[in-house]
Amino acid sequence: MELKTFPRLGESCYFEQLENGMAVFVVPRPGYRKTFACVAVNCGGMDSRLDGGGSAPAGTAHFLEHKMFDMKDGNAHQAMTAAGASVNAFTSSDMTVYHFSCTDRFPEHLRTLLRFVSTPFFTPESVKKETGIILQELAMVSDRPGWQRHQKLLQGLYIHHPIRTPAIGDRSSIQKITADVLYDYYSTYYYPGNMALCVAGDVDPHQVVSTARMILPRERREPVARTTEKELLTAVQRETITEVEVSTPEFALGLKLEPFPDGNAGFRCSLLGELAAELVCGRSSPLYNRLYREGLLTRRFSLGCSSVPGAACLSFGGESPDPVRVRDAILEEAGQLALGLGHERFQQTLRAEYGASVQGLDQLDDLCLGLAESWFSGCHYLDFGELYPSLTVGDVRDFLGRAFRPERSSLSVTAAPGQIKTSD
Amino acid sequence: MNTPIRTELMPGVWLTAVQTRKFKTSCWSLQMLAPLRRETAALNALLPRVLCQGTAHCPDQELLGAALDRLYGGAVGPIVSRRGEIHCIGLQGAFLDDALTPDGAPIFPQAAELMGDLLLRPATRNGRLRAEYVDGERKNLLGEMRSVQNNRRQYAALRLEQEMCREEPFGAGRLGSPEAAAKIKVKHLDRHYRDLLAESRMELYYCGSASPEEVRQAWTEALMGLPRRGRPALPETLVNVVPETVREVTETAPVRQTRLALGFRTGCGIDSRRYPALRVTNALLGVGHNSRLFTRLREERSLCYAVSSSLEVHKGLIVVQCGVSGEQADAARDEILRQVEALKAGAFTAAELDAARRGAAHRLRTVPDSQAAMGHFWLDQAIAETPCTPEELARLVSEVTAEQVTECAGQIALDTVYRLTGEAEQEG
Repeated sequence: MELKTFPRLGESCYFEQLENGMAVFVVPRPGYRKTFACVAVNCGGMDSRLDGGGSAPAGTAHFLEHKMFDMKDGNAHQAMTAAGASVNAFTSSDMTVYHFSCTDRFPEHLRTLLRFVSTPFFTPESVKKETGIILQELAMVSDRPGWQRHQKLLQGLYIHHPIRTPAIGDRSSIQKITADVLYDYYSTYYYPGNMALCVAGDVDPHQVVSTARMILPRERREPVARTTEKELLTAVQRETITEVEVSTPEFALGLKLEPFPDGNAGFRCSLLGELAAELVCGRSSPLYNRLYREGLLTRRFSLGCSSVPGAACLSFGGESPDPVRVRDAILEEAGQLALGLGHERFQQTLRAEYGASVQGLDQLDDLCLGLAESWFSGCHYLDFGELYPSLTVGDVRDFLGRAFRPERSSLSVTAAPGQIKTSD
Repeated sequence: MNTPIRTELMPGVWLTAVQTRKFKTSCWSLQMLAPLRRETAALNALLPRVLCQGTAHCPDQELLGAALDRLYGGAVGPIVSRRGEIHCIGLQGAFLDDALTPDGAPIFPQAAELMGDLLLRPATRNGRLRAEYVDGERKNLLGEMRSVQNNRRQYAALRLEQEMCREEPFGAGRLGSPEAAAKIKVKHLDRHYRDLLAESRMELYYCGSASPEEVRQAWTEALMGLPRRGRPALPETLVNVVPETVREVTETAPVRQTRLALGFRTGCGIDSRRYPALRVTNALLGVGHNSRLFTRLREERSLCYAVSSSLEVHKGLIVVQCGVSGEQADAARDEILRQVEALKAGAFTAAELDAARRGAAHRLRTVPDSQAAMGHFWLDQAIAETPCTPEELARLVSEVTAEQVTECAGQIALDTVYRLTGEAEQEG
């Protein structure tokens, strides 16, 4: 195994790519009782291509995630929980992740995890029962204004890209998913070369690797690169309002970015995006504090930069009685910073971003997910310590000038009828 | 490692310091423990927000934000929580641990000073808290109170607890009422602030690489000038309230899915000898995928996607929540009650009990791996006045017997059933 150290971060990380193509990362955490482990599969809601041709109904990746725990000898989720682990899974646009944490019997839990992600077992009866549960899950998320707003934002930004479709699917697509569909989907995406195993805790890294080698299939298959239709950088819809009974209007503002390249260049883009967003409207920015004083923003405000294959965007979200004014103010501020961002503010914000990222390493789950995500996009998560110092004022100014354009933006608002008006 | 040192810094001001090199963050908090009352709950909830607006030294958010940025992305924020009928309000801070600053410059002394400034030396005008901050934060607090209805799960929990504890201080809620908040004036809040400083029991917490001695010294200096009147005692919580009849409350809202919330009383709190059994009983009932509720309601009957029970350990309340389609709500309620009855009758398997014990012990054993979880745990222990480590409690939990669960479940009494249903049931 290769041991890489990151002295600035006080970190080290073991890595090995198995003969079957699976990546294994182990971050030692001496003194921790808890061990966190996950298997991430490089497929999610945006992936519908099937190996035999044709495409899977929307929501298949998520449905499969629910059913992967079923094994011939019972339900792995229940078996692991009964043995004291805390187990869960989730499906995002581009990843499906199975994870657990435990305070003892780690080798046993790890074996179970690796066994169930590599053993498909679906019956028509169990699939039918799950349909009812997933429809209830859909009803639950549909009652969340935040979910609706996010979905509308993606539809307002993208014209072709499959992240337009919610990972959970819709009522009709969910009901089209059968045991056969799940088997086809499984065989298309679930092979070791398309997976990463990440572990953080006080464990023996060599044992992790040998367990993975023992349980997973031997044969190697190279991952198939995703293809997505090229998107224009112009957003589909500048503004959308969804009427729901909410106390205060809430908004999500998205700005379309060029898709990030693979490798460290892409990783650098995402750090740059976060930094630029912070400079424009982060907690210590003059703009955020002006909008807060004027009652146009509250503490419930977040921003971020996200990327999936073929699409990237900046987003800002929060509560506001006048989201259109907030958007306009953000675009205007970015325009001014593109011309006049000073060195001192840049350094101060960079320092804050760096410190917050280092503190983030205390969350074992985020750390493991970061390692998996980075692996799938060809970089190493812990390289952020080296990449931050490479960002310059010039990079940020260029980025601000290119990214913050009205035609690239889409604003999605949830509000009660009559609560706000749009700019049209 | 990880065993905290507790010291009384001043009369009624207690410090819990955990020295560890496990984390990259140093975690700070300062909480005033006040009795939860309808008259003062909104004042309590507003105060820490106003204090976080600025200090005499950094009197606005921009200056404070810049100071935090220079400390490698430090963060401070208000705390408003409830431990039974104790209102815990104060400030928390998270900073990069000194071991990891790239230029080797220490953050620790500045972090301590900032925490002290936020509490004792806020931005003022004419000697009082600034009116613009009080007005602005009151508006935001009212907004937060209103926005609870946007989250159906939280809203159902809030309404259930308001109905269930309408005659107890607990029913005042974590944030108090909008009516009380709307009436707050600067002079009320300012007077309340000064009273709390002088009269409330205070709990300080630090977790990071500094030694308990360094921490004690830093907090003592930071809190120099803190007025104290006597040695404040801990407020009490009513635990032994027995419901006379079961109340059923149904309300409507434009929702696709009915939210069902059932409130139970257990008559047992964190300081009871039955407490380890209560944790296991709650785990067996509704925590995780092996619980009775999850296996029966979701896995066997597909009634819902999520169902769980949660425990308020100081007041001894169990709340069961799930989202179901409207026509299944009665079936779900009946099934939940059947599962509670099963526990009372001891109708659970050894394997189910074992899973519940393991799960409950696992959650306790992970406490020392999270600075925030340790902070919560030690505050609970301080209030319960039963010093016990997570590991010791985990051991007690692992030893709970079926008889102890049955005995504990025997005390569980249904108090209120709350439903939030759609005006006209509409799916998807």
